[in-house]
Amino acid sequence: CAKRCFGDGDRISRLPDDILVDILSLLSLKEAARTSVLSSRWINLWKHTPSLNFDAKSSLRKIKKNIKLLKSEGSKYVEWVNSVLQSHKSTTLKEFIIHFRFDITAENSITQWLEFAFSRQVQRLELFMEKSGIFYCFPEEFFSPCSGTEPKLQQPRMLFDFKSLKQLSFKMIIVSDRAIELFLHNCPLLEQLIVHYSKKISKLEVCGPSLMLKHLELYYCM
Amino acid sequence: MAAETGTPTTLTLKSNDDELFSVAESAAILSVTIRNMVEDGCAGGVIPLDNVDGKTLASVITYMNGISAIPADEEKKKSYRDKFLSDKDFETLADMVLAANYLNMSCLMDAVSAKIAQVMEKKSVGWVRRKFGIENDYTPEEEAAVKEEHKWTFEGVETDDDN
Repeated sequence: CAKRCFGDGDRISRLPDDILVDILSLLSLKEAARTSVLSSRWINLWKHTPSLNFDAKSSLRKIKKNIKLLKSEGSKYVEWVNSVLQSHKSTTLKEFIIHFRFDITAENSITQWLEFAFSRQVQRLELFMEKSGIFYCFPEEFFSPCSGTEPKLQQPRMLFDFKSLKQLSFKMIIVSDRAIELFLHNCPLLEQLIVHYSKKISKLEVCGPSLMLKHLELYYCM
Repeated sequence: MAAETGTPTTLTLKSNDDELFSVAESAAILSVTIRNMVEDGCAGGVIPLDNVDGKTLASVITYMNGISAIPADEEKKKSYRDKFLSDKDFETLADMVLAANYLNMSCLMDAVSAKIAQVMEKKSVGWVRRKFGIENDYTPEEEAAVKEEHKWTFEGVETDDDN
């Protein structure tokens, strides 16, 4: 059988990297990364996919009420995301999705994940938390101008360039009206903004120099 | 054939193994590569397609004719693509994606890529290797190390590869 199956060789592995990466981008992160075991040709391909969806919804559903398990699952989740980000090589990101149950020990990691996504000009960012009683606060410092030794130029340089952001969703995250307004101001391509269950929004001014916003959803934000 | 007003123009495409194919220009220009050649006036004689073999080109032309006969109805086009790809074996799919890339036919490229991803989904490493003829060049030790490093990709995964 080996002969028949192999035919005149391994055609798919001969496809150029960019095509294989495009194909892997259509798979879930887990499925894409599993292809690294196929052969040495495949070992690093998944690391270039521009979509990182860390969705733990299904495993969370299984252990819904078990606090002890939820805790260990939470730290496993953090380890998982950290290890993937450490090996990931794509310089830009189309999609970055975080969905798990927040735990205070994960705070610094989440900030680092956001830095990772923003520094790779993420287009679609989703930060979803399951209800846990404590909340991650979106750090406004992301919008601070760089504090460097360089002399002040015409305009303060932002820590990140948010210009590629098209879709932004926060659920169960504390995000202030100021942060939302800064996003609206600094993301000329932003089309969709969704904020659910954020306690800090009291008065929001929806305006920006070149607002492309098509969909704004605020749900339980008081 | 002398082109007269009202007569559809036919192009002759040549595969890298010297097979000749006639195809209506209106269908062939689904390929941006071919369209550019036509626009640049290079399509007078035979259009050589050095990166596509005859078997694959025949298939691509069937697709060009089929899809261009469907009026602008995305649903119908999609179901044509699904049907067209449904009986293609794994080698052919890999050849098609290469040809679609070379011919710059994004609709075919996307459809074939999606099909390849779909057949890989929920399958074990062994199954994908067998079906796509991927030669495992890892030593058993190396393979164990890669598996260990990517342990998380095997967690909670149920593969469905009986066929």
